[in-house]
Amino acid sequence: MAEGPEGPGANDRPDLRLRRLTLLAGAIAGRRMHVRADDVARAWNDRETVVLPTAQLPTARRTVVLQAALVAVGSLDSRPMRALTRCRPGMSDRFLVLEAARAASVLADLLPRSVLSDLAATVGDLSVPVSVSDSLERARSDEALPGVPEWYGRIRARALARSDAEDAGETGGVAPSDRDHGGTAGEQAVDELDDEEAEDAETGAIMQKLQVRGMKNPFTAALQKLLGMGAAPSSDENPGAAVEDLPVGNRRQRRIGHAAGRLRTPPALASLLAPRRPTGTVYPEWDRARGRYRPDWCTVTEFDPPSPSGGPEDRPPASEPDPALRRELARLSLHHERRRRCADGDSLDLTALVDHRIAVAAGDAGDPDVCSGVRRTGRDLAVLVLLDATGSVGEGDVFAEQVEVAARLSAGLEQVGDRVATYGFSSRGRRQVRMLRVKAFDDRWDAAARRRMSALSPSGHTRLGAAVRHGTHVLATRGGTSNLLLVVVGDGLPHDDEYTGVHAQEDSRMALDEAALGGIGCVGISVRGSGEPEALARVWGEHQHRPLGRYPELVAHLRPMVTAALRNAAAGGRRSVRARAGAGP
Amino acid sequence: MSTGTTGSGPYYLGISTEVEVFEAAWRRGLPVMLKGPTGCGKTRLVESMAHRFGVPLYTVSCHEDMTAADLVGRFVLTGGDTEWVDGPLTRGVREGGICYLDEVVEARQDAIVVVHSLADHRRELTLERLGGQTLTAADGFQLVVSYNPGYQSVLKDLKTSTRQRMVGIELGFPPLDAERTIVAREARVGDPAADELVRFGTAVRRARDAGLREVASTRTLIAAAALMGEGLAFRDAVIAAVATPLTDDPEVREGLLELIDTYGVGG
Repeated sequence: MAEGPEGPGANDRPDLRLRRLTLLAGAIAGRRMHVRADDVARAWNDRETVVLPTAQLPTARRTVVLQAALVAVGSLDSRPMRALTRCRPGMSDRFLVLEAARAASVLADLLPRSVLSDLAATVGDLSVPVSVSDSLERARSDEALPGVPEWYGRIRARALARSDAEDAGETGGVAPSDRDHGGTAGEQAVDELDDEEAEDAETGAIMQKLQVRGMKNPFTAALQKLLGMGAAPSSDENPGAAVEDLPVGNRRQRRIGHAAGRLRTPPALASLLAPRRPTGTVYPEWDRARGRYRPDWCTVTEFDPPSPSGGPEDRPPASEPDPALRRELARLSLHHERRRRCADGDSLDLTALVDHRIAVAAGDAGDPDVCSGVRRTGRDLAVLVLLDATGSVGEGDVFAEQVEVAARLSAGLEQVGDRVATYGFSSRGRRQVRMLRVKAFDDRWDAAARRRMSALSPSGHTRLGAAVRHGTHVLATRGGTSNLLLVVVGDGLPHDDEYTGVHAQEDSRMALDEAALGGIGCVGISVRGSGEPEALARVWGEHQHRPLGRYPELVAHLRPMVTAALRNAAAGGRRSVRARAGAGP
Repeated sequence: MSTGTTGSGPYYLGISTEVEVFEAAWRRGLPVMLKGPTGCGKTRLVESMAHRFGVPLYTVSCHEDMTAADLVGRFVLTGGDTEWVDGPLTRGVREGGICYLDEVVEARQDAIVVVHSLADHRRELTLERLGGQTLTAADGFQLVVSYNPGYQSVLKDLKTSTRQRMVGIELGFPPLDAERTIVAREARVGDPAADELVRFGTAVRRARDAGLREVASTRTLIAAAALMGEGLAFRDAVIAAVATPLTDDPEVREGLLELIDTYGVGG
């Protein structure tokens, strides 16, 4: 392969280039791999992420192919890597040359011929090792081997010696693992390390000796504090959180017992102080930092919206659906129904046939539609429209337009015969997530519902995850059809008290994934795009979301979005969850 | 490994024992179920077998709206009278041909149960609409169904009662050598071009979780080879025949282009 840039696409922006190389790495490795660039001298990988020197990006293809091929043939498994850490310096390069030759032979049917010929040029007439252990043995021997070309990259045995590379993609360094605690730490010789690794490893080794699970002594505590590895001061409103999840080094101690650290105020006192509220439904919230759910975290309560202060014509009632929207809605989610008097069908409609015969006998032409057949005409869709009724969508025009979208959708869906419910939602902290009932599934879209809709005014914040979870619950328990759809009308971005940034986005995304896994299609529609495409991508990911400039755009995009969402839901949310699993570093 | 069929019949290169199993099943009148990914050669195998046995082949592409009447037959109105018209299954039964239900899980299950009495020892078809008339399958009749286990939604699967009446043949994409031979022969291109295409196809098949709807099948590789045979460059041919049909996702497409360029340089 030429040393120059690799044809089309090679000189793209680095992020684009890396994304392009990801599929290549995964195809060769036979498993999902990431590719990232870093300030390193030679490329390497930790079985999950290929790290490339930034400067080599335009010529990185064969490096990515070789590094991924090493993963595919098991060269980098933890067992040989642990053996390699015990060897003298320089051994890993000899091992790399041998394993590259073995990979070229094992994957001779897969690797691009250009890479195979580059490999052959290096290897020459070297006899190909038969196994990893053969390579190890020959690397340790005094056999003369060719040197490692720059483009091979290198093997960082220390980083790979751990059996589970689960957080290696994040840190790229050496973090103590379960296995290390199990007593294999002694195997970690420090002879073949570069500077960055040595530093990590030293801290790691000291900390491992100090980190005995469940043990606390003043020395450990002081040292952990010194190294900044103790429990972080809790930013949580619940001071007990520091106790329930005490990080020790890189490990976490789980709280003991379900109720630990949960009570703040004596229950009797709390009941006196707290205002009486309607009882609601509690939902968990996904805690990204800890990688688990916070159980019973949010309370969602359904309300009827406050009565309009003025007369029923406080604001003009939402307009009627237009024919174009109705036409789009009419084509959604049909099921099979037996139809009579068809021109074509799988059996004869006897009544029609007798009528026809009589007409012919009477000298008439008769109606030739004498078949009965099954047609996809039955309605089989329940939709929950969730309207973001919060301050974040902004006052005035934007909110009014979102109300109009929600109203037209509700009206249109009801007219074509689908089951539809419409709720507004807003929140003030995790205990006050309010669902404002404009129209329940069994209500009509009548003047009262329209009045309730126009009575909505933006207030509070957006705890999107809780709202989506409640929407999922409502659809699953009251929807009553085989196709279920959740439509969120709003800016699609979460924000609430202690519910901001990545945490809020990940929780919302998790709630949408849960809905899709439960067979519910999710669609997000925002009027006027927000300025945060990255946040939107994080929340919505593979779920259908589209910012609309103006209402008429809705008509054009609605059906493809709904169809895709329902297809995703019918596949058990596999697409969205898979995309999530792939949202790596 | 059996040899490829020759003469004027459809070309099929046997990979494993599938040709022998198919022949044995046909001689004993056993129905066959072909499993395998799209474009791996299921339909071609059936065509080649029908040619080898010298029997007619009735292919039905199953779909969601298909009914039992589409298989068995129906009355149609001619003039003032109704007339019975045989469906493909009934014709196969009367004439002793192969009735091939392609992508059988796409059909609704109540449409498929009509084959049950044909698919066991009875080998007979009851025409309820003709007053319960019973036809016994003529010699040479064989029911063949195909489906792609990974492709359809999980909700759609074959009924157990249907499945256990069948002899199963599982097909996969052929190994490198065989696939190279197939691509070179079908598209009438040289071995180097076929080799690079097949390597590329193997790599795409290994790219799991890449968001691809399907992988690069033997059929798409043959199409790419055919385009190359017409003078297109590797890159252009593979983009047109493989990458574009495979994905609409811009990011996946970029990844595929990278893969194409990686394989294209040596071709």
